[in-house]
Amino acid sequence: MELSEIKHLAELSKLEFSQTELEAFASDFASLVSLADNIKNADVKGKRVLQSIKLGDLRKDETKKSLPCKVILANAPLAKKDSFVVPRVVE
Amino acid sequence: MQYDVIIGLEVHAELKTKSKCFCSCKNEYGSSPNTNCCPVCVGLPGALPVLNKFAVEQTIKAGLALGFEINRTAIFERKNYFYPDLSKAYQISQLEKPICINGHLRVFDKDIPINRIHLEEDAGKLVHSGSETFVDYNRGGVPLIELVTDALKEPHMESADEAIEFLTKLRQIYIYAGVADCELEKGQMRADVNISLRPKGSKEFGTKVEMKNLMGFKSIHAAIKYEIARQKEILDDGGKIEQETRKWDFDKGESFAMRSKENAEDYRYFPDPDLLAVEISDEDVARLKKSLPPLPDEIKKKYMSEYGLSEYDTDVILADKEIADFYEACLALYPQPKSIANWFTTEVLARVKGGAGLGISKENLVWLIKAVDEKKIQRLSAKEFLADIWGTDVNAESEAKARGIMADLSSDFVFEILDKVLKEKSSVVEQFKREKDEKILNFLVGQVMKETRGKANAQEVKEKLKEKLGI
Amino acid sequence: MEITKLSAVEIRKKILSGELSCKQTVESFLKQIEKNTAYNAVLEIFDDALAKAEEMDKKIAAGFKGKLAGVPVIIKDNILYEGKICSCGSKFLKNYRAQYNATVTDRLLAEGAVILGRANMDEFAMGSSTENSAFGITHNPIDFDRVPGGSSGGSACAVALDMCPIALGTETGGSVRQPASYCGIYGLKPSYGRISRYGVVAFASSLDQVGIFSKSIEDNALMLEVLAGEDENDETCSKQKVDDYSNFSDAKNLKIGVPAEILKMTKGLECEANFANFVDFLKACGLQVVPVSIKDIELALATYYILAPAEAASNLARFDGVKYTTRNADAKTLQQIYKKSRSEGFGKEVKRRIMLGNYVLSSGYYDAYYNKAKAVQGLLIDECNKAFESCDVMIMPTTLGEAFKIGSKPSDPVETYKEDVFTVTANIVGCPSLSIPFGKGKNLLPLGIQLFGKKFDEKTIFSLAKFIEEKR
Repeated sequence: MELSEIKHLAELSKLEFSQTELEAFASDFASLVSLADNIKNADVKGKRVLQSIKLGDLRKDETKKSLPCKVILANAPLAKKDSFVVPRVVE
Repeated sequence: MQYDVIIGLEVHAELKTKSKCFCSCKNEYGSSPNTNCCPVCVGLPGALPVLNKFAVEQTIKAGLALGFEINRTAIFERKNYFYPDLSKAYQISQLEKPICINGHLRVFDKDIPINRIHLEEDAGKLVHSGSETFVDYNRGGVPLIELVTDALKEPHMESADEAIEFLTKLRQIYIYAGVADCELEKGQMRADVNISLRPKGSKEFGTKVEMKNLMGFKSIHAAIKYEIARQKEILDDGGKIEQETRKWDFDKGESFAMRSKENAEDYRYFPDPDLLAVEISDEDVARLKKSLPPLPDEIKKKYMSEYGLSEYDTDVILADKEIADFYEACLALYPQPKSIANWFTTEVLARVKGGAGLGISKENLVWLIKAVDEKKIQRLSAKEFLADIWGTDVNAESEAKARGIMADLSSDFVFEILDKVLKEKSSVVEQFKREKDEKILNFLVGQVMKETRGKANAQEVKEKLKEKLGI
Repeated sequence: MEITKLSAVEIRKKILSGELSCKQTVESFLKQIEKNTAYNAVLEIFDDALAKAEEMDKKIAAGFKGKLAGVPVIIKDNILYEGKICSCGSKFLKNYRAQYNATVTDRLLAEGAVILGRANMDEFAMGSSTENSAFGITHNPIDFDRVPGGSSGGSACAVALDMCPIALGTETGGSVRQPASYCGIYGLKPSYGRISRYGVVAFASSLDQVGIFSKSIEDNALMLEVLAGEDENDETCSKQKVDDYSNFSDAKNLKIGVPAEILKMTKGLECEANFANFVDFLKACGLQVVPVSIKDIELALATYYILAPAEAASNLARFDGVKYTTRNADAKTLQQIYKKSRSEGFGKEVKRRIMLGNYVLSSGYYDAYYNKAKAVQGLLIDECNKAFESCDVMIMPTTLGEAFKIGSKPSDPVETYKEDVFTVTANIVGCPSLSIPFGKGKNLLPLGIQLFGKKFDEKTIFSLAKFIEEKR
């Protein structure tokens, strides 16, 4: 696999790697992909698993008490004004 | 050069439900930050979504109101991307099997094809302040329906006016169907607009430019006009349209390209393994169809054919469901559709549009309209009276009596005045008897009306006067 | 009487009869945990365990007779217990305190269990050795130089060393059965949808299930009775009726299926002879053993290593340094918070699987991998259903052989993934599978055999396990 492709995956995964780590990944990936490739030739006849639920069995539209704001924010690395805080997002 | 304009719309509307789409927190606007939140909508570790039945039913109803086919199996997928308003770093949405497919909406003389309506969860709200962004997940998980027009099929929307008509009608239908309130200032209805141009007659599509998250019909109208002009100018100069997303700056009245992402978005959609596919039966669809309240087109037909209202009056009344409902409520008390409609299209709407709110009870309004119809109050004084009691909770009848504005021709009161006027103006009476001039008669009527301070009906005073004078 | 040697069923009986107090029981087990800290099975003893035991004694005195009244339990570090740290074996969540209870935690507490602490695990349940924990390796209870298996190695080791009579683990591809086998105890992976996943930190949602470790089959069945059953907070949790698992049925007429493909796969492996012995043993017990087939079972491993990482990549995206996980101190921008926090917080194996998962989901590969794997899953379900037309329970080895030495696996991750070759099928098809201790390897370390049942038919595999226990 191309290093650029690994870099793209790292971006999708929001992970950073050093050059050495990237190269190690490239070799791991070759092995992982060859494992995954085992299913490529399987004759599956278009089967797919689809577990379903009837519309009538879904959750009724009723409200329940929410958690207190304090609990919601309890583990936040940074919280102010009853909100989670991140550096200003520029669009 | 002449161009064909092709406009596509993606319209998001927050559904009217008690609880959120995948948890039991309140679906409520305006609460203080992070108070309508639970493990599910904040995406805490271990939390699992549980689909709200009514959200699915509301989506089906929206689809039925717009003539959609309803998929008998609906699948929910995860749309994966990182953003602080998205607590789980994926949005639960629908890709492969949305609830509604293939609908259409009549816009002026065109049936605009619509590809789909799917159900998804809204994201949280970001508030930017100074160097920080504050994240509030109250809106996170609110059920949202996304409608996507099918710009690949004919006919296309081609102008800002058509797009606005589409949105206006869509909004009206959602409101009438009871699926969404669509309050624009609360962001309950938002639209993304795609615009592409191609040389007139060409079959190939031009490059699409997307404008995201437009709120308010004025912005949308202006943004579309601006974008069409912008693209035209580029093409006329022999330039190329960049495929990009642009943001509309309402204050400046222009759009600018948003920072393009380094990599094209790859949302890695896959069926959400926490949720089951939903089976929708023919019975479900039939039941929901039956539950749909009358929709604007149907009501319009009734107003015009049964009530005999003009198309203009009908449209004016139906434009706002609150007004239309009030109209029906008044009609139930006093079945005179035209008479009530006259008051609605003038006095009532003028006040509501002027921002005074619907400040009168149906009982008071109907009493007043009826009193005018029965000539118990002069139309002019009734209008003044309505203005006076608007926004108060007085009883119209007793208030009118107390103010002495009720006409009362049968009483001695009017006759007394009549006699008094005839006596005081005896010379004029003599003149009339001689000349039989209508103008003189009208002068006498005016004198009586003046004395009654408008409480009498001029036509009837005239009749009575003629009687007295033996004509 | 050695309290820590008692089964949960016995402990409950003695506490209810007044022969033992809950406090005294919990004290004994806590001592046992402290005696064995070198094994690093338990990451934290909850400081209120004794107080809870005293409360339980009062409750019992007042007439409480819960199914687990006074029974000490240890839970895996990925099951939420409100107010307690739940770190998933990850540095990223080392200070994360649960903001709510998992459904299984609620059910344990409602029936009177006292939760002693949380057990070590491979980070985010990814691994087969508990070597991937950010908080150190857990050792094999029988041979200190070997692994206990994983990812629920801490829970398995705790039960094997009498730190508690029952422990909860979680399964995605064998994370309960494999360590149970390496530690010589019972380990159940229930049917998918049998136990609620609410409040269990997700690895791969369509495969995850809470599992049960015990030294006695009665304890395992009792625990499933407590945990199983529908949950309004988990749509994938089945509404199927919960059986009286402890009321074992007669197993002597069961037909035992041996998949021909399994016999082929065991060729040359350490488990081959033991598996053959087991088949002979069953026959000697008078059970009917029939050949069956799961034609494509060899595709299960690849299928698993596509589906599980894909779901994991998405499930673990929420750990982003914004809402609860540790935020990197140097991060200035939002993108830096995401990337630096995640790169610092996750261990190597977790990163590898996130990358692999995003690969199989990414545009251009989705159909070839993820979609195809879902289709193979459908195929395997059909093949298992077909096999169950001619048998009641299938059997297969749990592991390739005995527990391996710590640090002995080669760097190629696929070599380690092959450890899961016999266990992943039950997760992929959603059937229950119980690993029972049977036989020994060349170093006299325990081996395990899986009793693989029809979906939601845990009762039959418990009954068979009981039958086997009695015939030994």
